[in-house]
Amino acid sequence: MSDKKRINPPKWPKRLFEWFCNEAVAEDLTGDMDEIFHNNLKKMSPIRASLKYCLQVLVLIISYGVKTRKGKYKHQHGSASYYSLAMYNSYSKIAFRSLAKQKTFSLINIICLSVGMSIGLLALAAYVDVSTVDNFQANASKIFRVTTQVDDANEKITYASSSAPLGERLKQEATGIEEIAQIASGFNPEIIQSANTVIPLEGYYADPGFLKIFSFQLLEGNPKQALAKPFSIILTQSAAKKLFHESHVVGKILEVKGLGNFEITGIVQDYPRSHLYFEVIASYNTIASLEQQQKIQRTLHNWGPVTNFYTYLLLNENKEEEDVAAVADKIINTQFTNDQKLKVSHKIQAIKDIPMSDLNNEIGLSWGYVSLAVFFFLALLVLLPACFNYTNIAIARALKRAKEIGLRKVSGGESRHIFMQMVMETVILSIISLIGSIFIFMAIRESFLDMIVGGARTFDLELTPLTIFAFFLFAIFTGVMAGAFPAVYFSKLNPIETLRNSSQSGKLSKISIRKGLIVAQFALSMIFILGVAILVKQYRYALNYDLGFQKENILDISLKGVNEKILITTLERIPEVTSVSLSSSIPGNWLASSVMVKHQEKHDSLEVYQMFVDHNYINNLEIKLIAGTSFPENASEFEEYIIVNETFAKKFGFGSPFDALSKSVVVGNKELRVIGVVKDFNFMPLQEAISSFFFRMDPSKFNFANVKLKSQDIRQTLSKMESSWNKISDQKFEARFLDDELEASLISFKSMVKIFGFLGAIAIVISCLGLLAVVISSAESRMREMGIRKVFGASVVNLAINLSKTFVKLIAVAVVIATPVTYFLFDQFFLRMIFYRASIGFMEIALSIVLLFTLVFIIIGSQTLKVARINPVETLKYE
Amino acid sequence: MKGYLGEFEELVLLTVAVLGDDAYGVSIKEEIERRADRSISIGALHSTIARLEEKGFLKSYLGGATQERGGRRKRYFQLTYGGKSALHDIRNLRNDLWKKSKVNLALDL
Repeated sequence: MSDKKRINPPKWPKRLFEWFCNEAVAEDLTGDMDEIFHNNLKKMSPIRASLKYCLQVLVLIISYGVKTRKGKYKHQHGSASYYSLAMYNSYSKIAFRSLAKQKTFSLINIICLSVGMSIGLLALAAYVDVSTVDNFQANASKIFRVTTQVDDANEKITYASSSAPLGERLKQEATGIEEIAQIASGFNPEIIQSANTVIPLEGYYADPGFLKIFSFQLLEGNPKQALAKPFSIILTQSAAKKLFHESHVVGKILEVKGLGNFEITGIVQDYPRSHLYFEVIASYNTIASLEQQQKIQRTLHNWGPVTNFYTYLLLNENKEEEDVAAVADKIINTQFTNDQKLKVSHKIQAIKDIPMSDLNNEIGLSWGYVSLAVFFFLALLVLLPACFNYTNIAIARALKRAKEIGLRKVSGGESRHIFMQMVMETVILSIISLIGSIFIFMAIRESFLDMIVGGARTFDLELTPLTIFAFFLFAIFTGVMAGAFPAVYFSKLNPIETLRNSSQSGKLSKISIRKGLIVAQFALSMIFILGVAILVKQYRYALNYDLGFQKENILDISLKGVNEKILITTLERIPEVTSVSLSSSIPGNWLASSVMVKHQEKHDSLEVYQMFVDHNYINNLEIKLIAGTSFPENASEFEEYIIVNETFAKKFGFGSPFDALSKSVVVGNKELRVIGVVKDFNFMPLQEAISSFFFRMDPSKFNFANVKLKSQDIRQTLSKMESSWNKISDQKFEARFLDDELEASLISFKSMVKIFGFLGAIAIVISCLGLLAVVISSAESRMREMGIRKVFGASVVNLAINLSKTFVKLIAVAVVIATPVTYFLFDQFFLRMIFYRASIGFMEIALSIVLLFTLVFIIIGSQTLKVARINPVETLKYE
Repeated sequence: MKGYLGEFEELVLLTVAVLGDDAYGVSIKEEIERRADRSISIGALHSTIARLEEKGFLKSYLGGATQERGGRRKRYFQLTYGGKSALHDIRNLRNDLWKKSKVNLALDL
C-alpha cells in the first residue's frame, strides 16, 4: 500500500494543466484526475496510467468545460489580467517615493546609467542613421546594383563595382530592366577659380539614367538633358554656393584643371544621406571624349578592371533579381575565359542592403556591418558596469526594502506582482537616466564624429522622432536588464523571514553575487586602463622606431609633371637644401607597389615590392648599402640594374650579399642585374614584416622629389621653395615632411587610443561610483559595530582598515583576473596584427595597477574614514 | 432552445440525482460507466456539466479539504429546480410518446 502511494501522476502534464487553467479554477479537476489515476493504478501498469493521465490532460485542456470556467474566472483574483491600471499607478507612485527616499543612491544610479547608456545611444543613433540611408529614394524597392565577385584561387573578393561595358550589354540582353545608370568614380575636379585659387570637388561621371533612377531633384536645368552631352556638369546646391556664392548658375562654364571646360547644366537640391556622395556629376560620355583626347587612361571598353565603374539598375516591378544576375554572369563569363584560375561572377544587390554590406571599393560612403557590431559590443561593455551598479546597490539596500516586500506578500501580493513592481521601478529610473544620457549624447556627439575617419559625412546623429523612439526602447531594455536580477531576488523573499525582527539572515545579503559584480566591474576597468597603456606604448614605439632610413628633415615634393631636372637645379640653388633625390613613392606607408619576379634558374616567381629611385636616393635617405654600389649617375635609357634588400638576396638564394652582386633576375620582359644590396629597412608600416624588395631606376616613374633640408627657419625655407616652384610650374606646390607622413599613417592607431581611453574613462567612472555606493551602504550597516569597537579602544585607522579590507581584496582579485586576460588579448590578437611591436612590459602593468588602486583607495578611504571618525556616542545612544 | 436536453445530458442529470450528496466528477464518471457500460472521458463529462450549469440545471459547491487527493477539494453537483423540471419535461414527453405509439412497443413476441 505504501508502495502505491509513492507513485504520483506525471508532473509536467499536471503543471501544464495548472498553468493553463490558473490553479484556483482547476483544483477539483486536478483532484478528479489524481483520483482516477490512483484508481487506474489498481487496474493497470503505472506507465499506462500515466499515459491515460496525459491524455486526460489534453482532452481537458481542449474541452468546453475548462474553456467556460476560464471565461468565468477571468475577472477574479489570480488571473493574468489582474494587473490593472490602478496597480501600475501605485507601482509608479511607490517607485518615485523610494527613489526620493534614498537620494544618494538614486543619484549615483542615475549618473551611472546616464553615462553608461550614452555610448549605447551613440551606437543606436549610428544604427538608425545607417538604416535610414537612401530612404528618400522613391524607387528604393526597385533599385539594384551589380556587384562583382572575383575569385582568383587565393581569395574571394566582392566588389561594389563592375566592368564598364557591362551596363551596355545588360541593356541589350536582359529583360525586365527599366533603366540602367552607369557611374564612374574618380571625377574629382579641381575647379580653377582664378590664377591662384583652385577649388577641389568630389563626384562621379554618370549617364542620364542616373537622374531617372535616383530621386535627386534638379532645382534648375532639365533632368533629361542635363547629363546628355559631353562636358556637361551638374552641381549640388552647396557646391554651387561654394563656387559662385549663388545657385542660379546654369549655363556658366567651369574650367577644370587638366580636363578642360565644362558647362553647368543643372543644380541638384542638397540631398539627405545617401550611400552616394557627390558634389558634382559630369556626364558619362565625357569619359569617352577625354579618352580620345588622351587626358585620362583608357578604361571604358576594358572588361578587365572592375574597380572604377558602377552599374545600377531599375528593375520592373515583378522582375526577379536572380534572372538579371544570371544574364550578367553569362556575359562576364565570355570575357574571362583565358585564365582558368580566375572566376568572375555577378550578383545583384538591393539598394537597402548597401549600407550594411562590407564590400570592397564602395562607391561613396561605407558603414559596414562589422564596425557597427563592434560599436554595439563596446557600448554594451560600458553599459554592463552601470547595470551591475544598480544590481549591487539594490541588493545592498535589500534590508531596507525587505519588510515592505514581506508586508506586500502577507497582504496578498504574489511573486510576479513584486517582480513587476521592482522592474517598473528600475525602468522608471532608467527613463529618468535617459534624459541625462541624451544630454551627454549631445555633448559627446561632435567629438565622436571627429574620432572616426570621415564621421561627419557618414553620420548625422541627429535627434529624430525615430531615434528618440529607439532611445526610449533602449532605456526600457536597460531598465529590465538592470532590474531583473534584484526583482527576482526580491520576489523570492520569504515573508516570514523578512518580518521576523532579526531579519539579518545571511540569505539577505547575497554577498557572493555582489562580490562577483564588483570584481567584474573592476576587471573591466583594469582591462581598459592596461589596454590604453599598451596602446600608448605601441604608438610611441612606432614613432621612435628606427625604420632603417632617415625620416627627419626630408621634404617630399609632389612632382606633378614638372621636369625633374629643372626642379632639382632650381631647388639646389636654395642654400638650405642639402641634397635632392627622386622617387616613385614614399616609404613607410601602405602604398608600396609590387611585381612578380622570376628567378633566373628556378621557374617559379616571387612577389617583390619595388620602388623607383634615382642614383642619389639611397645616399639621401641614408639607407645602408652593405654591398655593391648605388645606381650610376648617368643611367642609360634602358633599365639595367636593381638594388635589392637582404631579404631578397636570401629569398632568391643568392647567399651572402656580396655573392648576390651581378646576379640577374627577370622582371616582366627585362633581365635586370643586381648591383647593390641594402640593409633591410621598413618600406611598409610596422604592421608588416620586411619582405623582398628592390629599388629600380626608371625616370618615367618618379612622383616625388625628396629634399633634405638643413634649416633653422623651416617656414621661411618652405616659402622660398614655393616661390621657386611657382616659377617653373603653374600647379600648386605640395610638400610634406616624411616624418609627418609617417605619423599620419599611424592615425588609426591614434584614434584607437582615443576611443579606448574614452570608453575606459567611462567604465572607470561608473565602477568607482558603484563602489562608492556599496562602500557607503556597507559602512552604514556596520555603524554600531564600529561604535562598539571604538569604545573598546580601536583607533580610527584600525576601523578604516577593518571596513576597507573586503573591498581592497575584491579589487585585488579583479586585478589578478584582468591582467593576464588583457595580456593575452593584446598579445595574442591585437598586437599579432603588428609585426614590429613593443612587448608588454612590467612598467605598464605596474603603472596601471597603481593607478587603479589609487582611485580605489581614495573612494574607500574617504567613506571608511568618515564612518570611523564618528563619535561612538552618536551611534550607540539609542541602544 | 434553452429547455432542450441531450441524451448524455439527461444521463448526467439523472446520475447526479442518483448519487445524491456524493455527486462529484469521478463518482459521476464511474457511476455512468458502471450503469451504462460505456467509457467516457473526463473532458467530455466536464464539458457536459459546464453546459448544464450554463443552462441552470446544475449548481456546484466546493467540498471541504480532506486528506485524500492531496488536500484538493471536490466540487459537488446538485440538481436545481430547473434541472428537475427539465427532467420532468423530458419524462412527460417520453411517456406521452410511448402512450401514443401505434406500434406495440412491447418486446414479448
